[in-house]
Amino acid sequence: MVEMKCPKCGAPFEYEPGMKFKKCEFCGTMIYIDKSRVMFYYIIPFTIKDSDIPALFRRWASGPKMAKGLENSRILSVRKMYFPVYRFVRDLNGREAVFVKPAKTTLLPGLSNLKIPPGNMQLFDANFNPGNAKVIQPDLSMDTYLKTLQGTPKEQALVFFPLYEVRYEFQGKPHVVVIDGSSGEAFSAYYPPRSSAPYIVVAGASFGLAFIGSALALKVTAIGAALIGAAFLIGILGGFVVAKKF
Amino acid sequence: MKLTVGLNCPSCGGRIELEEGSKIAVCPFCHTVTRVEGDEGVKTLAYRMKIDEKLAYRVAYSWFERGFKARDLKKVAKIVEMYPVYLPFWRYSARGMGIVLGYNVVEHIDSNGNVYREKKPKEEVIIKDYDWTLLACDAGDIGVLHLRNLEGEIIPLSEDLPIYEATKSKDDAKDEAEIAIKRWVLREAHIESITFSKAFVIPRDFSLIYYPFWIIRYDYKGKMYFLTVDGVTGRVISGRAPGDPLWQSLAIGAGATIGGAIAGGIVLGGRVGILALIIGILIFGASYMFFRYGSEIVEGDIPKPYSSRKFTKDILKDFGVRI
Repeated sequence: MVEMKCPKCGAPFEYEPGMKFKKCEFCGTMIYIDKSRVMFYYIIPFTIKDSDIPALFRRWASGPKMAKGLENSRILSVRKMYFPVYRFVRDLNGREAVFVKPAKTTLLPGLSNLKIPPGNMQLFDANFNPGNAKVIQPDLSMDTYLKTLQGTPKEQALVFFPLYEVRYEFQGKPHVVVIDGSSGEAFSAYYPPRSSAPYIVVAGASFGLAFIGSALALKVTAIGAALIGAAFLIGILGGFVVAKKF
Repeated sequence: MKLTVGLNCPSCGGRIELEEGSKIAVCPFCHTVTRVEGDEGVKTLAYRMKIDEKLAYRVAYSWFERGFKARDLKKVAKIVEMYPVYLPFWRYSARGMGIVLGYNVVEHIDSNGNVYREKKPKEEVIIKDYDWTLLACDAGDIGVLHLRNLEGEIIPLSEDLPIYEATKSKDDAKDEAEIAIKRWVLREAHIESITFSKAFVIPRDFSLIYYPFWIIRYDYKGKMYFLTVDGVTGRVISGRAPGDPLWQSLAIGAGATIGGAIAGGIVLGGRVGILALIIGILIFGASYMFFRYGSEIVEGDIPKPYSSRKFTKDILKDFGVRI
């Protein structure tokens, strides 16, 4: 815990992330916390459990855009880590602007668009127990960013957020997906995709038959009705097979 | 370097009472009115959680059997974990005002069956109060961006609530709010063709509100899905659930047949024929989307697996055409 003191009476109080004003419990003074010239270390703890990862992976891999059978891929490895980013709050001509910058060079997918996942942010200090997760140390210094950022500083922090790096094998090829350890969102640069072709063939056949059937029905009602009936059967039976197998 | 600043009345030195978010402080001793400058805070409020764990559990199970989800979902799904969270939202309350001029087109049919189109000029002055909300942190895979409900009991914010931190810029949120409110004002006029419009937003209140939700994760055949339940109203706000091939095939069977049969009406010719073709294709398109992407049912503000432009591009790619 970062312990701060009331500037009037000296009584200590505990600081929580996001706190800007605090009323001293002893003397009642309203205290303003000036964060413009310090850097806080924050951490977002994991809410996803390690044991949930295979099931979360299978949910993601069985999505409608992923190749059929991707959910049965073999998981090669799961790495659990706290990944660091810098968060700058700046005053830009009277407006509050937030910048998020990488604190560590990485090629992992999902980290290039840099956002801080939703979570219950806490102070990161000696009391915080990262458990079995690796805390990745920053290799990019904050100073390099401070020089180039516009505006005047209001707040800066190093935020560690939780993630799982899941490596899996599909049809003999290795792939990687990153799962945010707080909300469960999955990021990947590439995954084996599912083709829409079989879906379009069935849908198109059914639509085409019904179209021809209806156009004919004015002249030759029996054939038209038969074609429309066939369209319905092809749609349902073909659709069922495609939805299950492709 | 000083990290904390005690606030005192500049006139008498007495301590002043200051609510976070207020711009003016009144000294209780000498009654001096002081303007607060610098890094202004934002008024912060929290709503009381009304839904307990048991009720949230029941809400989840009744959600399982609604809609086009897997038919055995209620029977097979097992809730693995559920926990309450308070998500941060920017709330912008403002009065939207606007002048909108334009016309609506009205069709008349006389006794001989002739169709006349008439441009009916219309002008509206709109004055209405709006509340706009936006999630103040990244949405992740939670699927809630805007609040649907603002009724509820307000409680003091306490430090032991499971609060998710606001990480986005409040001024960006204000800009978005003003754009959205201006759009609402224009829509309120109900004018199809707008020839002139001017909209204003008069801010009334800006605050950060913490709103309670239950996050429920459940397992279905070895896959983990989730849903979020509004902690005040008990409604399901977002979620992911497995679909069912039966619904998918019924959708395409019915949609393609009905769509195709209606589109076949093009042989009737003229305006009716064209209209039939368009309606037929729209029905077909909607049923195809469900057929193709219905293996996972997504509710709430979660990005849909398709957008119409990307969709067309993907189809062409699947058939080997690149654009």
